[in-house]
Amino acid sequence: MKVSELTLNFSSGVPIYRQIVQLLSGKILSGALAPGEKIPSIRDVTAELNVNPNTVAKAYRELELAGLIETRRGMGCFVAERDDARHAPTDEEKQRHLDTLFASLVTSAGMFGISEQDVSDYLTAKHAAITKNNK
Amino acid sequence: MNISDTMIADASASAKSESSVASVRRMLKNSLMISIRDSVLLNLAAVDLLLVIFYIGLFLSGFFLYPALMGQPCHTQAEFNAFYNQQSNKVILIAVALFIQFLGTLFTNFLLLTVDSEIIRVWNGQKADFKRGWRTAVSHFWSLVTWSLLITPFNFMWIVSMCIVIPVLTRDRTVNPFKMFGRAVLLLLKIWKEFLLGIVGMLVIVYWVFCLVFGSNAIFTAISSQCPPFVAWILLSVCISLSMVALCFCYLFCNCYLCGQYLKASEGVEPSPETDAAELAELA
Repeated sequence: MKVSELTLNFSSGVPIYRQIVQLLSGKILSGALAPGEKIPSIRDVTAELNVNPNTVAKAYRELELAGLIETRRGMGCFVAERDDARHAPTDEEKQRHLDTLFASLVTSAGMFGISEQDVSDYLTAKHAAITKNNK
Repeated sequence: MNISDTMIADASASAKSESSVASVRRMLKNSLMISIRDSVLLNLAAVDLLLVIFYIGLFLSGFFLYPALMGQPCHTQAEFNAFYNQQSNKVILIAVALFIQFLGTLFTNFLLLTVDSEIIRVWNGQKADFKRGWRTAVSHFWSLVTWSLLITPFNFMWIVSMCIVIPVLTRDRTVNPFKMFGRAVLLLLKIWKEFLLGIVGMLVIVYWVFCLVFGSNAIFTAISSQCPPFVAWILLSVCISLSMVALCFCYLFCNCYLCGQYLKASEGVEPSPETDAAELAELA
């Protein structure tokens, strides 16, 4: 995986470490990054994306604690080997992912002065419209 | 354990265990370290400050020279007031003054962006580079133009520019100045408590630096009054150099702290120019 595949949005209002966690976990859970594949080193990410080493280190620590990546001493970080049953996200993981998505949606909307209530109303209206169309 | 659980647990744990004061103290210490350690950064700040002083000098001399060039040299405040009041083309004069002020604001913001972009690089563990800083500022030229246009009529806005907007501009290419300002304010709101605490800490440090400089300058002056003229001149030049170095250092230190706070707000993690070596060796 190349560092250029990590596209960060500095004006979204979502903390950069959270963006890195979301990007990499998304790629790992979707299978875009295969188990055993090497992920860019902290130094490479720091130099190319102009972010602080602490930020990348924190994001990698989060991913490691979540069991998505593993550190091999002296070799770098790799996508963790996972069995198929564990690879498929559980309902709880899906729910948490939705929570994270909603939190980042609310933060981004806040940048444009859109309130949390407006976002919620919009999603409810959108859901109603989709349900109506499906019927 | 899943990602969100870890993130929430980690964030709440760090929020509880860490007090704002400890964080601010660490940031101030790191800012001091960066200001002292990186000579390229200090040179860059010195060049920028000298250019700004030169521009202000040029502006003021133009203001004083204009009546003389028009054949009416003025020597007192009343004469200046009378000269500028009697001008028939007042609107043009105001327009020219505003344009000059706009150029000054743009120039100052440009230089500030040059320094800030390199300070952020140093916070991120890289070395400062004079040329790269200028290239970054050039690449943000239109954002700087629109922002400078917005703040030109308001003199006090330079402090807002220095404290919150220019650090944000180093990594944001928005041309809309209102959007730029909105983003800067939203980032500031995330860390307002530490930001205010840090400003107090920053001012205390700047105060002590200047106390030290003025104290030593007073001692030099006292000694020079009892010395032969040539020694007095040497002491005077030492005093001026010391004051200039102190000014550059304070300018750089304040900007280092402000950029550090910006990094903390935008990245969600407290920055440090030196990551724990053991951690890096393990993860890098």
